[in-house]
Amino acid sequence: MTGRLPLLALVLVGLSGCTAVRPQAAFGDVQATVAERADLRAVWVTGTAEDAAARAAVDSLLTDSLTADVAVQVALLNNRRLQATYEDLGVAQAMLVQAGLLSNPVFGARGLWPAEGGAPDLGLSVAFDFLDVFARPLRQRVARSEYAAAQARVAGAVLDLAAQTRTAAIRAQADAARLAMQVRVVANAEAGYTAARLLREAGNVPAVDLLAEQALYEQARLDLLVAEGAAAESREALIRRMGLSGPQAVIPLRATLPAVPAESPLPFVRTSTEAGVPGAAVDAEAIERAAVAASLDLDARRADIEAAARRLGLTDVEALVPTLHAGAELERTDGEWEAGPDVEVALPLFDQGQARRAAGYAELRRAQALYEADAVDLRSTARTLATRLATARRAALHYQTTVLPLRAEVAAQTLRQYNAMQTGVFGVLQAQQAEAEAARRYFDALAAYWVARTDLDLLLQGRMPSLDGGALARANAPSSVPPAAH
Amino acid sequence: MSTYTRRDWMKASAVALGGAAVGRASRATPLPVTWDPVAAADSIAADSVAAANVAATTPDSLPALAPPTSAPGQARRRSLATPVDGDRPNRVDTPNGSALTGRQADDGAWVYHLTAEEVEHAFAPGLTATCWGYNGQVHGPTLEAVEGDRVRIYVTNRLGVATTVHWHGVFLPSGMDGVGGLSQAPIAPGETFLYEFPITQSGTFMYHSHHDEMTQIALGLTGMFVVHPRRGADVDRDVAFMLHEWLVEPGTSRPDPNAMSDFNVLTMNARAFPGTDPIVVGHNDRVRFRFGNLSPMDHHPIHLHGHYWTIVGTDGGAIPAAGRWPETTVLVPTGSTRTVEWTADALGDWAMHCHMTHHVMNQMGHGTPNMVGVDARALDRSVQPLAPGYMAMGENGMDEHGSHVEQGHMPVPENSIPMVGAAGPFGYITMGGMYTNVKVRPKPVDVTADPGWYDHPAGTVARAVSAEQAARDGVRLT
Ligand SMILES: [Cu+2]
Repeated sequence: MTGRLPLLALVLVGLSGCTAVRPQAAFGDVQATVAERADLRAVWVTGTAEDAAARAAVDSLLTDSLTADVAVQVALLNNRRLQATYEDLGVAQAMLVQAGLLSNPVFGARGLWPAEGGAPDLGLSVAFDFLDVFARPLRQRVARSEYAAAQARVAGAVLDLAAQTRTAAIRAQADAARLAMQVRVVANAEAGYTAARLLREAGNVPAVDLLAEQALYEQARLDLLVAEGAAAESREALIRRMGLSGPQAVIPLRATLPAVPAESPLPFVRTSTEAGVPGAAVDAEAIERAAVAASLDLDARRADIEAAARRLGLTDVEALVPTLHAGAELERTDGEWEAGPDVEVALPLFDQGQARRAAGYAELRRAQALYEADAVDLRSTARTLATRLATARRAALHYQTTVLPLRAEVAAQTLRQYNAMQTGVFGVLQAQQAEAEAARRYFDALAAYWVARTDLDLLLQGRMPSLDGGALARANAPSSVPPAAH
Repeated sequence: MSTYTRRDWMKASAVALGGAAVGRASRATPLPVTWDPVAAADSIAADSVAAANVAATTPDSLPALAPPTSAPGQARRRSLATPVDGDRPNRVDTPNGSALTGRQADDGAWVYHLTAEEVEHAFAPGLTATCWGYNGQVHGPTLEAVEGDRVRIYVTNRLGVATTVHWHGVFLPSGMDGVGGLSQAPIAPGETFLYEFPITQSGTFMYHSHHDEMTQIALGLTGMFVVHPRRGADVDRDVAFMLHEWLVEPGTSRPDPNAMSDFNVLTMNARAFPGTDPIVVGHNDRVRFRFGNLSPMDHHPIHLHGHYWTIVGTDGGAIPAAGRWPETTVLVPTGSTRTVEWTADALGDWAMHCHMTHHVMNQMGHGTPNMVGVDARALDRSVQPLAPGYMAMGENGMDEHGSHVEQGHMPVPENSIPMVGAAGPFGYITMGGMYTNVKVRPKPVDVTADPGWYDHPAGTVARAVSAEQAARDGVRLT
């Protein structure tokens, strides 16, 4: 036996492989993925000295006026829900380690005492589940697939949070800008009310005119209330994503969204210089191809399929290969220890693995169907976002280059008409009102553009955005009726 | 600069700059976007009457127009002569217009040629519009004939539409009466028609389109037709005025013929003050004014200051002496002429204008709120932050408007002019539209040039008084 046990020990050591649980290494892969795809830095706060550095980074980021980029960085450092997601990596990695471990050997001892007395017949055995040894590579491959899927999902969660934070920042900025416009609208309505009051005091207008102006003013104040509520809510949504609370939650939000760049940084969107229309066309097909190539969702689905297939292979092995327990036995017969192999074989009489195999096939088919379903959705989302971005870009540029200058010119010309005594103070205010209204719609368009950009960016980084962006940006605009002509 | 100081500064500077002379004679091409007095003076130099007519006949008499000045020594004297086209000397002055006196044919008939065409016309400095006129001017030249003439009038149509000419008040064969469809076929674009008839009467008549009248008269196709009696001139100054009204919205450049009651440019010989030339007469001259009115919709009570006149005739003929009466205002109904005669026995600068107050306004809008008595500063404080450049106006009327606009502090739409007037010798003349100045000067006087403002003898100008001065007459000022 002395010659055999070391051999067994060697086998055990050889089989044990990667037995260490090291989730931080897995996070490195996630960090690399996120950095490569989105140029973002993810940090896993794990209760070490580096945590303080992360907290300091958050504090320093919060001192400047807040742009969408800063908000995203803070969220990646500070969002607890994301940190919780990182623990999935630990779980998956642990599972992978677990898959590499062999079942513990079973130690057996027996003693038989003859009924007539005499020396007992003693036996010692160490039994291994030998099937475990055969199935281990398969099981590890399954676990590795699951682990890869977990990594992809965590990286996806990082990208998702970044995009959600960016979108929240855009909405908060747009709502802040809309609020500023509504303040202007209120000031405008107040001026109209004042004018009507002064005219009324001079005896020059009937009561109905004053009441009409007052009604417009009061309505504008109500609209301001709605705008204030919307701005506060979207601000809170941003704060939640950034994981802030207490004094930190008072964020210095920058009130203006950046204008639509004249040249689109996205290669697929042709710019106004190339086509007659501002914003012009997008190459939806190219975006579709890029999105499919980049998709982490599809990667994860593919890993699911592989895992299912491998699990099926494992099932086959487990079902078809007879359960084999191999071990060594020491037996003392007549005072002499004899050592010899001992083999037990389970007879596949009852459980031939058919049920597990059927379940395995079902899982495989489900994984395949989900893969295809995701691929269909992905392509459609790519086309939708390509169109939405092109439309949003054209709309925002149209406001920038045409509608806003036009409204400003209308206001200027109205002032000239006023100076020529062709219109009165109400005409002037109405033109200003229309200008403020156009500016507010411009912020809607601008928000829709930046949200579409964020969504498309996320898609090209490999994640499928929810397609509510366009609708939400529009739904945020408070309703307002321009004042009737005087 | 605060609202308060800006407003007060503008008022102060309006007084200070009130008498400054402006004006250049070079031709301006584009319409000014802001109302710039210098550019405006340029644009009137491009006036169609002078440019089209005078250049062809008497190039040296091109009038160099400039607003009146309180410093006559430094200012160019503005020519007030009426350009003439024809063999006979003209006897009637047409301020801002011209005369057509005819050329005699071999058979003794007097031949005239009118061409109906589109004309770029300046109503006043800074206000130009595309109108329709005759012989390159609006209105057409004053046709002068003599009782007993046989006239032969060629009419060429260079418009894009058919037209006719009706000789208003003139006795003639029915087929020469110029009513399209009734008396004759309309003159098609490119065609020339001949009207020929003997002149059997004398007096003040008119001519105008009688085809699609609403459009063609509204766009300016009218003119005076004066027939002198056989014997020579019986007055020292004989002056013809065609009254008209137009709608030219600020920022537009064509009169709107659809206007019914909201006319905003009221003219004498197609000029609105400050575009009207003054009428210069010698002291104690016998003066005849002939008013014709082809305004689409309005009568005009024309009023002269400092004198009375006698209404001596209409387009129906002379009023018998027993039926005449003295007046200071003559109502000129639309579609009529009125002839008045008077003695210019009072030296000075005298206003003559339509007495309908909206007819002495330029381009006034009619939909603005009544700002009289409104606290303008409170309104300024409320509106200015929202509309930079806004300034409440009209809280005490409209007198301040013209000076503000003229100084360029209040930009107005292209092709629009201040509501009222121009700088006078004592500040702003708060009149526009159907307004002109009659200048009575000691003889001998050059009636063909602007003599500048009247130099009042000492003690003959109304002035501010102190409380002590008033107290001497028992008037207590507290
Ligand atoms: Cu009038």
